[in-house]
Amino acid sequence: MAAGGVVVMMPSAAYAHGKIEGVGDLFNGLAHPLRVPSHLLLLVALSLLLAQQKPRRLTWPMAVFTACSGLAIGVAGALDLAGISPLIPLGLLMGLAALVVWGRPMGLPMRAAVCALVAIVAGLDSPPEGESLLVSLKFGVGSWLCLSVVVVDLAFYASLVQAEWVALGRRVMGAWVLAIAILMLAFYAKSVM
Amino acid sequence: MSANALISWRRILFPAAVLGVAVLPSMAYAHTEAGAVGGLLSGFLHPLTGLDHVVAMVAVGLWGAFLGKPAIWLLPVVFPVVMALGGALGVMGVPVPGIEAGIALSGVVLGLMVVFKARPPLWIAAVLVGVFAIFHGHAHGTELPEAANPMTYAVGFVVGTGLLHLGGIAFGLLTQWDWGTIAVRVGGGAIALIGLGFLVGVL
Repeated sequence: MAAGGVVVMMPSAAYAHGKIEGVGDLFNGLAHPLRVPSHLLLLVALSLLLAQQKPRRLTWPMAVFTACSGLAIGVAGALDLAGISPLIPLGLLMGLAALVVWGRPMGLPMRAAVCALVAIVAGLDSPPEGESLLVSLKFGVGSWLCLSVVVVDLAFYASLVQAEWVALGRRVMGAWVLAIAILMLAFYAKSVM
Repeated sequence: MSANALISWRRILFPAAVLGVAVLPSMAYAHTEAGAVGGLLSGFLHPLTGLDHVVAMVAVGLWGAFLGKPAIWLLPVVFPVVMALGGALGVMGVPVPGIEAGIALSGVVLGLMVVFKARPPLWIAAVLVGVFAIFHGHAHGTELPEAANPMTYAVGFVVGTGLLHLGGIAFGLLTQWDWGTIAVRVGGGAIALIGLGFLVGVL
């Protein structure tokens, strides 16, 4: 059980994110969530889930997401975390995608809780990388901006049309995300075996 | 050089140049399986480059269109998820017997379902599609190119498969017209024949 716990919590070297040389710290931070497929899919899945409701109902969940992601990135930087195991975002991704496929609208407390959970996982897995406080700050702000803008944008535009065929399209996309998550989990399991 | 000699040189040089360009390996595509973008492209193209896979994916969409709601969206939801489970088995090296026969049989059975406008209960259709999805997924999971980025390969692979289903559904929506129903059933027949060709080893 202890070994299992270590594997779950351990960040994987094979999935280390790395930096792009010569583009600046802020841009590196901005690009960070987009360069990690499991993060990007997590944001897409959350946006699809939030988009089940009309745009005016997005305000509070998005506020929670923005606040929690900033806080989590700050904590990851302050504690000098090296990221978290890929199993955690992948597991969360599968759960989110399954909720999208299920297609039942959730109440505000549940939506806010899901947003907080995704924000914390994505934030803790996006630790600011830098040799000085200023570099880390730029990187962290970039990551926070990207996480927030992607979710706000995708959720808002995906929720604009609430026609039946759009709702079905969201559920089909949820199935695609679930399928991708299952395959990613298999690839990860193979890489650590 | 006379005009006739110039024309005959052109007759030789032009086809030779075209042939040269055609057989030269393209540098732009020489490393399509490397890196994140390479993995994405490789995964996306993988379901599209096997006729036995393509016809079965399209047949799922066609049959869904014939069955109407909710099958029209439920089958394209069931297939990729179960296919991914099959793919995971393939990636992990878990053997599944009769993969090639199962894939070929999926074309035959799903094609015949379209031809005969079969309307079984929804759960039977979902189970049938799910069973075939295991075979397709396992084959794709086993054939993962070594150099491909696994994460982006998974994205490309699922999106490529999903787009084939959507192509089938788009074709299947022609059934709202009489001529369209005939066209779709003929398409189902062609799919069944192709599947039979793979099953008996002709294709």
